[in-house]
Formats: sequence, C-alpha cells, structure tokens
Amino acid sequence: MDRLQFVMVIVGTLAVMVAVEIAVLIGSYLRSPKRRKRLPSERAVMRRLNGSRFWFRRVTAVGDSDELRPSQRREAYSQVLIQSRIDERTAIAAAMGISELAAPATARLVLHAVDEGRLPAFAAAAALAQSIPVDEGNLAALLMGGELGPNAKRVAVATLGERGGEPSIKALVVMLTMERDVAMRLSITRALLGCVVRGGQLPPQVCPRLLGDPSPEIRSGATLLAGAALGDQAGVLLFPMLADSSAAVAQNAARAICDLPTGLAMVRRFLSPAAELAAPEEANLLREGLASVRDAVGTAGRVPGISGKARSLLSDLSMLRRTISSPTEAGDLWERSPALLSSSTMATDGSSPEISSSDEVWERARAFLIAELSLRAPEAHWNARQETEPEAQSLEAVTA
Amino acid sequence: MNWWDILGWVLNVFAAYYGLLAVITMFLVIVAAWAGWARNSALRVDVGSVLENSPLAPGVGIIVPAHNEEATICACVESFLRLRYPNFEVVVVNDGSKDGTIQALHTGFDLVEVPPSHDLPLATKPVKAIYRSRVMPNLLVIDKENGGKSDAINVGVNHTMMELICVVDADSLIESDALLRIVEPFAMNPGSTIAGGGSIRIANGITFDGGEPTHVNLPKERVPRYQVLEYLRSFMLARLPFGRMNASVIISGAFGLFRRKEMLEVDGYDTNTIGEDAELSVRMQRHMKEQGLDYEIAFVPDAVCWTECPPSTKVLSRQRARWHQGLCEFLWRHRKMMARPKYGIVGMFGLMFYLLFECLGPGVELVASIIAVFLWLIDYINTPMLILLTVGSILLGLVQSFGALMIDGLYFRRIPRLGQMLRLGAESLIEMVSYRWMTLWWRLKGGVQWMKGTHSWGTMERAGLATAAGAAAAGRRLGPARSLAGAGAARAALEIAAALEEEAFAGGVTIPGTQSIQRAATR
Repeated sequence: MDRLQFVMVIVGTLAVMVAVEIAVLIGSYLRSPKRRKRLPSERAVMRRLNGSRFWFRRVTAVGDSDELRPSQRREAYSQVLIQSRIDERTAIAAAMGISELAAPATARLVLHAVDEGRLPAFAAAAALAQSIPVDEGNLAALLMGGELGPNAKRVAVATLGERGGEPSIKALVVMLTMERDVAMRLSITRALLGCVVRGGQLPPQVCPRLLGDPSPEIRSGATLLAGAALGDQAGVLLFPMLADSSAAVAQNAARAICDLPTGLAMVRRFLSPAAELAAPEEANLLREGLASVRDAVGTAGRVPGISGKARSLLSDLSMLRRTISSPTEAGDLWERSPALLSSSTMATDGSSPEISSSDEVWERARAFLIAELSLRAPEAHWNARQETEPEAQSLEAVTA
Repeated sequence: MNWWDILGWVLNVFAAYYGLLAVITMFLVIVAAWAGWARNSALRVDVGSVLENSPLAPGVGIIVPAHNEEATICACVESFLRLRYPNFEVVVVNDGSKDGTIQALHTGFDLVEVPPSHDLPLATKPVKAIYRSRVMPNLLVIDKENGGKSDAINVGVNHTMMELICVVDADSLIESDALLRIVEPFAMNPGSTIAGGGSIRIANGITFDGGEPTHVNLPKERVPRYQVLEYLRSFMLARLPFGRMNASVIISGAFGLFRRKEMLEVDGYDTNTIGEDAELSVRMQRHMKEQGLDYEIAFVPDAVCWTECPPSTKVLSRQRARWHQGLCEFLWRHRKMMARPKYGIVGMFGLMFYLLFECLGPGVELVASIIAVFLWLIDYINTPMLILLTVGSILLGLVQSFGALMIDGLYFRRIPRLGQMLRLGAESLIEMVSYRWMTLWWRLKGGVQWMKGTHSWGTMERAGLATAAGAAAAGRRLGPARSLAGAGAARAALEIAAALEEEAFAGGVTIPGTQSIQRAATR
C-alpha cells in the first residue's frame, strides 16, 4: 500500500465514521425519549422472567410491571437474591424490591446476601431501613444469634441504631459485651447513640463500661453517648474524661460537657481555682497554655451558641491539663495543688461560687485531676505526697 | 540518503502519527459508546437513591478553595449545602483573598470564630482563623494565608475527617444528585475505588434553578460555544473511555472525589505544580501500583458540575497555556511510569496517549502543517494529496466532535434539542479552521513556559455564572435558621446531627453542637 492509498483508506474510514455518528445522533433525538413507555403485561413479564438468561433483566422486568401479584414479586426477587452469580446492581434491585414487600424473610435474605458478597453493605442497610415490615425483634434476634458475618453484623447494627426501640438496645448491649473487634464495638456505640437520639433508654451500666474501654475511639464515642443518654448526670462520668490520655477523648468529653444542660455551670465551678493561677508568675504559663492548647477549647469553640467566656474557661481547663505535661511543672503544680484545688477560691468571672464539700461532681473531678498529676509525674507526686499526706489520702479515698 | 529520502521519511512519520491518532480516536469512540451504554443500563437501578437512604453512606467533605470569589461564593456555597446526600460537610478555604470573600461568607452564613486545630497531617501555609456557621452546622470556613489552590485544598483536607474528599471550584454549580452519583463507585467498591471524577459542563448561557439547569441554551458568544464542544470531546471521548478501561489520568480539579486515606498517604496535593489535579491522581495510582494494591479510578459521566468558561480569548489564552504547562509538568514528573508494564494500562496507554497526542500534539500539528505546505510548494506532493491530507485532518476533528455529541445525545443528553446539537456539529467545522489554531498556539506557549520554568496562575475574570447562580440563589435562598427551625426541617436537622455524630465517633473530631440540633429537632 503506497502513501496515497494509506491516506485514502484513513480518510474514507473517517468519512464513514462521521456519517454514522451524524445518523445515530439524529436518530437518537428523533426517537423521542419522552415517548410513553408501555408497561409489559403479566404474561410478558413472566415470559421474560422464565426466559431471560440475565438476572438483571429479570429483576428490572419485575420492577417494571404493575401486573404481578405481591407473592409473585416476592418469589421473583427472592429467587434473584439467592443466586450466587448476580452482580451488585442486580442484587441491589432485588433487595430494594423485596424490602418494599411484606416479607418476613427479608432481613435474613438481605443479610446473607451481604455476607456472601453479593450485596454491598450500604444497599443492604438502605433496604432494611426502608423495610417497615422487618420486625425489629427478628433483626435483633438475628444479630444475637451469632450466625451473621462481620459485614452483615455491621448492617444489622446500623439498622438497629436507626430503629431505637427496646429490642434494638437490648441486642446492641448484648453485642457490646460479646464483641471483641474495635471497629464493630465502635459501630455498636454509634448505633446506641442513634437509639438514644431517637428516645431510647440505655441501661445504667453501659456508659461507664464504654468510658472505661481500652480503645480511645470507643471512649471518644462514649463521651457523646453519655452526654446524650444521661444529661446532667453524665457530668460525674465526663469530667474525669477531660484528663484522658487521648486528646481526642478529652476533646469529645469537653464538647459533651458543654452540651449538658448545666454543663457550663459545672465547668465554671470546676475551674474556679484557675483564678489563683492568674498570679503574675503564672500569667506567662497561662498565656502559653492558652496559645498551645487547643484541643478541648477547639471542640467547645465549634459549638454554636457557646459564649466567649465559656470558651476561655475551657481554655483554662485545657491549660491545666497541659501544664502538667513535664515533671517539673507537674511538681510545681502538685506543691500548689491543695490550695489550687481548694473549693474556696474565686471563679474567673469574679463571682464566688459556692461549692459544698458534698458536691460529688466537684470532688470527683478534683480527685481525677490529682490522679492525673500522679500519673504524669510519679516522682513529684511522691515528694509532694510526703508533705501533703492527709490531703492526698482524703482525695484518694474519694477517687476510690 | 538524500534530502528527498529524508522528506519522504518525515512525511511517513507524520502519516503514521495521524493514522495512529485516527485509529485510536475511532477506538475511543467505540469504547465510549460502550461505556455510555453500560452506564445508561446501570442507571436502571437507581443506586443514588439507595445511597441517599442508607445509614452507611460514606461521609464526604466538600472542599471549596476560594480566592477572590466575593461575587459568587455565597450562591455557590448555598448550592453545595443543598446537595442531596445524607452525610457531608462543606469546607470553604479562603486562600488569602484580597476582596470581600470572607466578609461575604460572614454575612451570608453568620460565622463564628472557633479555635484552630492541632496535629494536622499535611503541612500548609498558616491558617489565620477558622469559622463555623451558626445556621448551617455542616459548614466550616477557613481563612488562611495565600498559598495557591493546592495548599488551600490541603488545608481543607486537614480540617475534615470525612472518609471521602470532594474537591470543587468555588465558581461551579453541582447538580443536586451529582454527589450521590459520584460516590456510587466508592460505595459499590469500597475497598478499591480511590478516586472519581464527574463531567464538567459549560454554564455560560444556561439558567439554573435550585442548582439544576432549567433552560439549557448554547452560549451566545462564539468562543464559549467552541468550549462547549471542547469540553464534550474531552469528557465523552477521553475521560469516559479511559475511565471504562481504568486508564484515567486526569481527575478534574473542578469536581473530583478522592479517598482521604490514600490522599494522605501521598501527602495530598503538590503545591509546586500547576496541573495539581492530574498530578495527584497519577501520584495516587503510582503509589497504589508500587504498593502492589488493586485500585480503581472511576469516571461518572452523569455526575455533572457546571462551570463558567472564559468568554474572552485573552483570559482563555492564559488558561490554556497554564493547562498545557501543567500537563507537561506532570508528564515529566511521572515519566518513569510511561511504557512500563509495571504501571499497567495507565503507564502503557493512559500516559502515553497524553504524551503523544495531548502534550506533543500541538507541536506535531504545527510542524506537520508547515511541512505539508512546504512539500506542496516544492512539488514533492501534488495538490490532490494536499487536499486529501487537509480533508483527513478535518474529518478527524469531525469524528471527535460528532462522536462526543452522539454519545452525549444517546446516553446523557444535557443539551435538549437536536437543533442545538447539529449547530454545534456544524460549528465544529468553523472551529477547526479558526479556534483550533488559536488553542494550538496557546498550548505551544504553555509548553515553552514549562521549559522556561515560569510558574504563574494568572487571574480569571468571572462574568456570567455569577448572574445565573445569583438569580438561582435568590430564588432558592432560605433563611438557614428558618430552614432548621421549621417542622419539616426538623428531621433533616436530626439527620445532619446524626451524620455529624458519626464523624465525631471516628476519632474525637471537633463537631459543632449536634446535640443541640438534635434537641431542637426532637422538640
């Protein structure tokens, strides 16, 4: 083939291609897309159902038809959903289709399809969320039955979190005690929060248990859960979390405290000793602390409606946590601690809060702060302990 | 070998180059038609609406870098906040604007300053202030020193904890269901999809209502009309088939979605390059290949973002030169991936295509045209051959233009009338003898800029979209406080709160008072 022939072949092919493209373009517009589509009859649908080799066509045929009885539709969708070789899209269509029908086996079918890798978890969760007839109790029983794989369990947990009834909470709490996987425990904690937001009541032992979890992610989530579930009662549990070794947990704890109905008042009382810190020699420390500490205040600051005053109080609180990061500072702080943590000082806003010795929240928070000091600087703690033994002992008693 | 032999050899090289381009173009048209058909069939199952109702929808952080966008920023942010998606937040990063961008946001969304965060994974220019909106709990505004678009996006990535990062331009409008559509491949293949892109379309001449195009007209000016064609060709005949073959090279910076984990693994956007969007997607792919991990880069043609194009050749010339410079930069940077089987189809086909036909294309085209005329003048080739070559070149352009129009008309049809499509097709003829040569020249200039090491973004003048978006925004602007307080919105507020809570769980993230919202909603 010489050069001219080569060019002619290319040009000719391109010309044909352009002609085809123009024809297809015009044809596609002339075949109006708005033309009313005639719905297939039951017979036609059944023919497609029985004749088609493609599950996708079968499942869309069922969806297209208004003629099929619910039992026929349910049967068709179920048949599709249990096939091992369907693609994800077909499985989604079948799962969403069956979830609209009153099918008692929906949850089991859908969850098994998830476990066998046919159905994506997000679609299964949507199908179960849409499936009103799926009994909450059935789903809870399935979850506790131990037959579900990790993906299906995740879906079931998320669905129960959306329901929020008593069976859901019961199943989730049971799962919490049995489950070892951190990600799954996190999902359960999240689901429990969903239940609480929807008005569910948590058993009293759940929040303390979660707040003592070894995983910071779970503790972090648990702070929010405690705030939502226990209201002001959560203060007792949340203040100690401000001294958590994980900054993320402390942040969420600060935020959860701010969200409590009387949270800010509690913070103010807790921080009243900070007024003493405003002495000249500590002023620099305070400023440095404020400049470098943004975790707790960062969380609180992003809450709409929190005043600047409250934010600065939280800064002080945060600073207290940070100033004990080095043994020297911790030692200094420890030496001052009896006075610092006494309840007779002024609040930063100038008012004089009345804190009774029986104020459990205050006492426990104070005790935890001291425990924090001893953890961060055991040597300083030991030295200081020699001088302030009676005080320390009484505080340890409170902690215990 | 004499001069005639050399000329003959050169001519054969150019003939082979154009022959190869023609064959690849036809191949891409066929693959694009197949990909369009497959996507269209897949749309029979509306995965987007399933995702919308799923409690397991992955969280999306929409990062909006803004630099001197005072005129359009509020309308655009409103349109982002109204996207249909169950779990997202919008992070606007004001990149040292000299106009009133930050003031406009203050006025529009009732911002309150919040303290900055610590332990951020990506190094960036300093952040001046962070604001939360009192009325839209899922809006975060970050004011930072000027550091360029990439730096602004990195700041946004630092401040959102969502699993997916959606990067959009502040002058763009995203269709309300576009986020649902673009997240779809991430939800379907949660382990393997690391990035995805949507279609970018020209908004000039189009009227919007509620973020949706209501009257799609072709732009009145000729230059934007040509750009409509250009964008269609680029997205229908390159991104669509490349996406189908998992050979995607470029994820558009105007509307792209990335998995945050992999983005952080490669240290986010590179602040020292102009083609940052393509560079990131190639770097992510390189990282995945070198780790021996399977991945997918998806292109979702029906996830549409509308953007204003430059109406004047003055601005356009700068933009095109910059794009070409960026292209040269990232191809050079990742040259080791080219023609290496280790990097799969991206190295063997995707990058090679961009090198041969996009990067070198303008130079080859110019030189080939000059040589063809020269050869005709010295009578080396006769007049019929010259005419044939010219016709062949025009037909190649027409195959691309009509191919793109055909696929759009068949499967996606954002241009509603046949007359508009045929007009565009007819204008592609004029485009080929006028506009195409201008862009060729600008791209050559971009190549020269890259060789000289010039590094400048220049400025982009906005004209049309502000009006369109503003009109749309005026129609749909809700008092955000009212929107949350209304009885009908209570459920929405609850859902937003729940979504935010979910993120807070992921690691002690700082989230605005969702419980307050929950309380308000349940009341």
